[in-house]
Amino acid sequence: MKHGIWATLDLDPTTDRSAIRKAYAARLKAMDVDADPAGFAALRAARDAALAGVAEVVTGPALEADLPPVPSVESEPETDPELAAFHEAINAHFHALEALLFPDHDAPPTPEELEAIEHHGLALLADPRLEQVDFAASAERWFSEMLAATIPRCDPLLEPAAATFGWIDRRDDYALPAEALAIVERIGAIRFTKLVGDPAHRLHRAWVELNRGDERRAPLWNSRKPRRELLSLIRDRYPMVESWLEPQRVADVDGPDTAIIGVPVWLIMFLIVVGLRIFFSLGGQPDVLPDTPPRITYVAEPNQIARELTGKGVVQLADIHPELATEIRATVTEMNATSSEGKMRSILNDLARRRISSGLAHAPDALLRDIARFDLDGKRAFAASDPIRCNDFRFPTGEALLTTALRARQTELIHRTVLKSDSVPVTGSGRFEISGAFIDDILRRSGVPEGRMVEALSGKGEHDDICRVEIALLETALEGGKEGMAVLRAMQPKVGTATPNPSN
Amino acid sequence: MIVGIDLGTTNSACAIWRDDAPVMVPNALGDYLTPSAVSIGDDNAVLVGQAARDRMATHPDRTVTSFKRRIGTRETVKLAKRDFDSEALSALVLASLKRDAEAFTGESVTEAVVTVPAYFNDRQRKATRRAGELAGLPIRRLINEPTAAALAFGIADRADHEPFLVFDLGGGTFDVSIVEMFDGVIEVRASAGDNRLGGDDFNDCLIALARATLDPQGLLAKLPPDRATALLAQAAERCRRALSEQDGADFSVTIGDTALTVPVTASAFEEAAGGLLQRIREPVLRSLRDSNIAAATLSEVVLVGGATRMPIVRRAVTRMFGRFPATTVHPDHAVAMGAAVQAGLLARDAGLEEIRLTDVCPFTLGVDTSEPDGRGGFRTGLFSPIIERNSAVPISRVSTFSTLSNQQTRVQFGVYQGEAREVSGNVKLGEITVPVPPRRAGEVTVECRFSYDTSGLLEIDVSVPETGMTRNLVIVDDEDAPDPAELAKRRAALAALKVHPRDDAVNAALLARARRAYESFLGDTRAAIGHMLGQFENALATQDDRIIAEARTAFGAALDQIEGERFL
Repeated sequence: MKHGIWATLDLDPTTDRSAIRKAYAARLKAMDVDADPAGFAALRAARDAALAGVAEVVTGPALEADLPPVPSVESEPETDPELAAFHEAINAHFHALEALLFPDHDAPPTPEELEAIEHHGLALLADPRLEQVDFAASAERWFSEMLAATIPRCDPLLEPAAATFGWIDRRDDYALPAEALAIVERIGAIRFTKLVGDPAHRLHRAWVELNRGDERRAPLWNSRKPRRELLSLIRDRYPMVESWLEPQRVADVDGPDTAIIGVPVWLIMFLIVVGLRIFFSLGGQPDVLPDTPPRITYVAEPNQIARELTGKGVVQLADIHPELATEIRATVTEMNATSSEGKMRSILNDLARRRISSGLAHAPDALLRDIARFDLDGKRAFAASDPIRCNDFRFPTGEALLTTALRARQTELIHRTVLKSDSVPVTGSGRFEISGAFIDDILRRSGVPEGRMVEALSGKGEHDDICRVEIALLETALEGGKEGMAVLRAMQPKVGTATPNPSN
Repeated sequence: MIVGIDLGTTNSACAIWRDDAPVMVPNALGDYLTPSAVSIGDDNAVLVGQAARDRMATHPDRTVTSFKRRIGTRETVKLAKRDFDSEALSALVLASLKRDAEAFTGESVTEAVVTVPAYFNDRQRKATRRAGELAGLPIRRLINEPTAAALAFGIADRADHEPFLVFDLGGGTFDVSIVEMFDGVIEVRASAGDNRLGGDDFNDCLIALARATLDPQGLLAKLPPDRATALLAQAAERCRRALSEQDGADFSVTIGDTALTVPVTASAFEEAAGGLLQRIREPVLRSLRDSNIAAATLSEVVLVGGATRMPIVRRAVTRMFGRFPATTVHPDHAVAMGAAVQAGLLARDAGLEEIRLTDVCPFTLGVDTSEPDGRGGFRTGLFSPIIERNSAVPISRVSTFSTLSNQQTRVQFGVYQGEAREVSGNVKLGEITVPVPPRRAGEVTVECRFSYDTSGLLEIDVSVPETGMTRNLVIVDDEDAPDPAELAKRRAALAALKVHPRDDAVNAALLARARRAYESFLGDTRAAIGHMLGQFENALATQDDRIIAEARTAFGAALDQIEGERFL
C-alpha cells in the first residue's frame, strides 16, 4: 500500500529520477489542472519531494556551515601557465582579504589595513570570470555574506561590491537577500553622514549637535528646528543612522509632552500602591530583542533564537533547560509556518515577553538588584532632559532608549532572566504595600511634595514627578535591606492567577 | 480554425497547426514576417505591414511603429487627424494577419492564440485581449513568448530536454524562461524579463553614438521632430543590421539634398551598448535564482528574436554562460510556431494528445500591509507577497493578517502585482474590504487567499475566521473595464475604416519602398529611382495585371540592386 507522496504519484518508492518524472507526467495528463488546482499543487509537491529525496541520497543532507564555502578556484585544471599564474594571484588576494577581515584581535583597522582591504577586494571584484552567471551568482553570495559579517571593517568595499552586483538598483526588490539589503542601507547611511558631515551642508550644525557626547544641554541659541528636521529626515530615510547618534541629544529634540495636572492630596500611614506600569499594560509595545531584522525575508533558526534569549546555543540549552529549548524549537516552527515577517516578529516577541515575565517571577535577589540598578541608570540618564523617556525606561526596554553600553547590560540581564523562567503563566504584580518609613525616604530623596508623590507612586501626575519618584523608589529599595528587597520583589510578576490582597 | 499569432514590437507573424507540424502563414507579399506598422495612405486607406513601415520615413505624421510599447496605457497617437490607441493599432495588425490566414488556408479563422512577453503585467495582457476583440478575432488564450519558443523547440524533436534557457530579445521586450521537457510535459520553471529592453533600444544607442558627429550644421533640428526621429530610427536600423555582418558600417541620413554620414565600428557600438548588455544580465540571474538552477546544468541556451542576431548580443550570451548558444530554432519564427502548437493543443488535435504545458506566474502578487514603527506610529504601504513569482500555476495561497488598531471595524486590502518592497512601486490590481468585529489591536485575524489560474485570472477570497464573514473579488481591470457596448462601438468604428485592398498590397509596398528610397539617395541614383517610379505608376494606371506584375518585378529588382534587398 503506497503512502503519502508515493500514493499521489502512484509509484513505488524509488530514487530513479526518470521514473518519478514519468509518474508525474502520467498523473498530470490524467487530470484537468484548472478544475483541480489543489490536486495539481499536491502532485507538484509530491514530485518535488520525491526528487529532493533522490538528491539527498546522492549528495548527503545539507551541512550547516558558519560561512559560505569559498568560490572554487582550486578546482580548475591548470593547463595554461598564464591561467595558473592568474589563479594564484586571485588566491593570494583572497587569502589576504580573509586575513584582514577576520583578524584574531578586536582593535579597529589601521588606515594601512583599510587600504589593503580595499586593494585586495577590488582585485577580486575585477575577476573576469564574474561575467559567467554561475560564478557571479556564487561570488555575489560569498561577498554579501562576508561583507555583512565584517561590518565595519569591510566598509571600503561596500560601494564597489554593491556596484558590481547591482544591489543598489535592486534595493526595492523584496527578494533581495537580507545581507545585500543591510549593505545597501549602510551605504546610504554612510553617504548621508558624509553629506551632513561637510561643514558647508545646511544641516551640518544640527548634525554636530546631535552627535555631541558630553553632558551639557544644547545652547539656547541652537534652535531645535534644524535638529528636528534632520532627525525626521534620518528616521524617514536612513533609520540606521539614528542608532549612531547620542540618545541624550535625540531625547533633547524629541522633548516632553505637556504635563498632566495633579489631583487632590491625602495621606495615610500604609499606602496601597498599584503596580506601576509593568509591561503587561496595553498599548504599543516595543520590540524587546534588538537584532530582530526588520522587513526582510527572515528564516527563524533555533540556535539564533536561543542565543538571543539566553546567550547559549540550543543544544547547550537543552542540557540545562530542556523545557525552554523545546519551546524555542516549537516557536521556530510556528514562525517559519507564517509568510508574514510582521507575524513572525510578533510570535518571537510574545515568547520573549512570556519568558522574561516568568523569569522575573522566579528571579533571585541578586538578579533583581542588578535589574533595579539597570533601571536606575537608564532613568537617571533621562531624568534631567526627558521625563517621559525616563518613565518609559523599564526592563526590558525598547531599542530607542538604549545606548550601546546599556544595550549590552540589558542583553545580559535578559539572558539571566530567561534562564530562570518556566512555562507556568504569570500575572501582573497587582497592588503591594510599602511602610511609612520607606515613604519618608522616598519623599526625602525625590524632593517631591507629599500629595504629588502619592499620585506619582500610582503612575499619575506630572511626568517629571513620576520620574523623580521612581528613581527615589529604586534608590531606596536598593539601599533598604530586607524591606527594600521585598519591595523590589513585590514589583515583579507573580506566578498564579490570584491578585494578592492587601493585608494589614 | 484557431491560429497562432506572434504580435511583436517590430514584426508580427502568424502560423497554423497542420499535419502534425506548425506551418508559417505568408502575408500578401509572400513574407512570413509582417512589420508591426500602421500607416494612413494618401487615399486615407489603412496600410499595415511593409508598406506602412516604409512610409514611416516619408510620412511620419501618418505612420506609427512600435506601438506595442504603449499597450496597457491610454496613450494615443494622431494619424491623419484621427486618434489611435495601442489597442486599436494592434487590432489592425491582428485583422491583417487574420485575412492572410484565411487567404492561405481557404478556411475561416474563428479564434487566435496570441503571444505576449512573459513579463507583461495584468494591464498589458488585458489590453492585448481587447485588441483581439476589436479586431473581431477573439483571443482564446494568451501564452508567454518564451514558452511559445520552448514549445516550438520541443515539438521539433519530441525528445526529453533537461532544463534549458530561452533567451528572447525582440524589438521592444526581453524575456528569459527556463523550461524543462520530459515525457510530453513541457514545464516552465521560471520566467523573468524587462519590458523596456529590445532592438529599439540598441537603435537608440547607435543614434546617440552617431549623433555626436553626424550633423554639424544642425539640419536635423530644422525638421519637424517626428520626421527627424523617423529618419534617425531608419538609419539606425540599417546600420545595426550592417554591423551584424561587418566590422564597420555607415550611419547615413539624407535630408533633402544633403547626405549626412558617419562611420561606426562594431567595437564602438559594443562599448556604447555596454549599459544595455549589462541590463540583460539581471533577468537571466533572476530566473536562475528563482528556479534554483545553475547555469552550468542547463542543457542549452536557445536564442529567439531578431535582436539576437547581433554579434554583440551573441558574444554577451556566450560569455554569460561559458558556452555557445543553440541556433536550431528560427529566431524570427519560433514564437509564432509555438503559438500554433498551443492552438493545435486547444483544438484537441490528435497529434498533440500527449503534450501538457505547465507555466509559472512571472510576477509576485500580494497585498499592502502596515507595521508599527517602534515609535507609536505605523509604517504603511509595505508589500506583503502572497503568491511569489515563478510559482507553478494554477496556484492558491493563503496568508493571515491581524488588525492594527484598537476597535478597528474593517480591514482593507489593496491587491498588487510586482516585486517592490513598497506597494508604491507595484501595479495595483484592485481592492477588497471586509468588516471585522471591533476589538483590541491584533486580536482579530483575517485570512486572505489568492487563487491564480492558467488563464491569468486572479481571484481573492478574504475571510474572518471569528465571524465567518467572507468577501470575494475577481480581478477585472480597475481602470478601464470598458462595458461591452463601448467595446462594440469601438470595434464598429475600427471595422468602418477603409483598409487597403489585400490584393493590392504588393503594389502599395513597392510604392512606399520606392518613395522612401527616393528620399534616401541623391544625385543620379535619386533621379533614376524617380524615373522608374514614374514608369511604375504608369503601369499601375493601365490596370492590366500582367503589365503591372512585370513592371513590379523589374522595379523591385532594380531597387534591390541599388539599396540591397529589402529586409524585415
